[in-house]
Amino acid sequence: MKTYTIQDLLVEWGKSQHQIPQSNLELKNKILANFSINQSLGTHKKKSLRTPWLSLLLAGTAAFIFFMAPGKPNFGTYKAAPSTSQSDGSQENTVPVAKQGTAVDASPNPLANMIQPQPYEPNTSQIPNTPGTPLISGVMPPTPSQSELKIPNKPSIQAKPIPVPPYNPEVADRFRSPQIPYPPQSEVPSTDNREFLKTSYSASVLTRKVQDLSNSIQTAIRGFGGRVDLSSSSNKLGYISFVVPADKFSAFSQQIKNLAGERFYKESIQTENLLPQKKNIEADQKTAGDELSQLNAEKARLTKNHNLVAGSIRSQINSYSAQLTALQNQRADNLQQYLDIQAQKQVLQNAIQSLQNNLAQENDNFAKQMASADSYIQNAQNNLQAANQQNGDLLDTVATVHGTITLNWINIWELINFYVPLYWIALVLILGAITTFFFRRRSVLVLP
Amino acid sequence: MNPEQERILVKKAQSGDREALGLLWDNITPKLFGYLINTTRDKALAEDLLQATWVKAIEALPGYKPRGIPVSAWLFAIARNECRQHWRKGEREVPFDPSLHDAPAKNTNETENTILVEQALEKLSNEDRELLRLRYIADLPHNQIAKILNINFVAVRVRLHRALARAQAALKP
Repeated sequence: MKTYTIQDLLVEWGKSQHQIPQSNLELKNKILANFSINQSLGTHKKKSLRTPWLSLLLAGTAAFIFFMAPGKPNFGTYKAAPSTSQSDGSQENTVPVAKQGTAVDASPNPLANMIQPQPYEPNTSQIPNTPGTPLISGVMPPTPSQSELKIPNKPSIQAKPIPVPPYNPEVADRFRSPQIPYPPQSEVPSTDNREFLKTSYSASVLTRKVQDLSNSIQTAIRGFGGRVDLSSSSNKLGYISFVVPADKFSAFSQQIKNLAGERFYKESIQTENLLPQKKNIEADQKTAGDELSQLNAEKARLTKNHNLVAGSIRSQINSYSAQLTALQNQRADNLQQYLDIQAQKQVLQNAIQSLQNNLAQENDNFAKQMASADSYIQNAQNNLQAANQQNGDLLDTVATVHGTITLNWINIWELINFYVPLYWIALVLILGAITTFFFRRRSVLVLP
Repeated sequence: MNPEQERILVKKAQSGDREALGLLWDNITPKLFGYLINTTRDKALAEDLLQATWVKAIEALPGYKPRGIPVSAWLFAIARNECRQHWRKGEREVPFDPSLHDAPAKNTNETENTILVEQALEKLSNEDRELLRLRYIADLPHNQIAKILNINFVAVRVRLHRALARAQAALKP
């Protein structure tokens, strides 16, 4: 017995259903007659295709993306500063980024809007380098006449002038780009290979949650032993100015990168060797130290001379006093002898008086010279202290990194644009629209 | 008739060749009428629908472009559309009722198996029956069925597979 599958049964069933109408011929003739009339009258009407909604949707989306979507995401487009809370708690409206000299214009190039590294500008309040400017203004005592004291004829401690090369337009053009810092303007011997690197850091971060990220960054700054100098944040903008220890800077920078996401993070790090400043400070320290030693030696010499002169005068006074006492005890035998004694006594008294005046004058001069010397010594000590202070400040600067982080809110289009450029999406959608349109035209059954 | 022959006949018919159209009638009408009878269960109605289908097809024939779909599939799509328009005016497809409908044809091809299949198909849904009609009466391939039903090719395969499974289950006593 033959076994049938369901397909076999259905094929057999399908064939059994084929049949022609009872009035097949009549119907056929009728249709063919109708065909002749239609053909001769040309009554055919073209039926248009249905609206290609999918193609229109894709094309519309592509057009929207192409015309409405923003360009490349911008780093550092910090245009306005919200209310600023400083570390002392006071409220102040500031524009920190503008203060820092960062780009405010919305250039399509993200890097163009990054906070550009600024050329190093020495802090003149800490490290004077202007010729003729004393280290500490206002502490210099009135200068006594050089004749009164043998003070070395040296000027007060001054920063050495930094030679400025003559202007050369070709060289200037080469350094016109703001991204290239100015070359060090100092004559530091090449044998001195010490490095006192001052690091400036600026970063720009794009994020969807500005305030949350701002808080996280501040926590990270404090976690790395740094301090926040200035912070401001709103829903769309944020700014943080901070200082972190230089030895932890690398880890800190990495931490910020991880927090922000590498794709949404741009940083600019500028380092400059402060060796010229360091050498100036060392020279200042040496000059101040030498001057102090010289002044102390001069003061000792003055004291010694004074003691010698005063001792000599005192011994003369004592000698004359002894002679006067001896004359006073001497008895005169006659008038002439009496008159002689009186005359000698008068001479001795005058000499004693004169010596006492000399001694008083010597003491007075000595006191003045000592006061002047003390004043110079005090000045020299102040200069040395100032130089030490500058040295400490420089080492602090080297040991820390000053930085700023700008946070900018990013919209969803920019976010997508980070991963896939929007014009590519638009292009794919247009291709999809074209494909679906033609596919539909090819495959659609147009029913009369 | 293979698709190439069918395409040539359509070309001729489009240029006004009545004989070519007659050949197309002779080749397609048995399947098309069988499909309509099986769908409507009413010979008179099926004849009306057949006539309406051909009239519409002939009217639209000069503008017909194959676009990968043979004219037979196009005619079945028109026929199906005619059925739907008829039902829209009246009532939906109803199960076979001898008092209302013509009895199944007692032609010579009918065997015990076809009767069994008819009985099994009565237990299936309208959608399953429509799929099986287009596949086994109209003898259309999957891609053309997909075009007629305006669904995905894969969906046709899946639905057909399920319909066969249900038909097989319905055949079991």
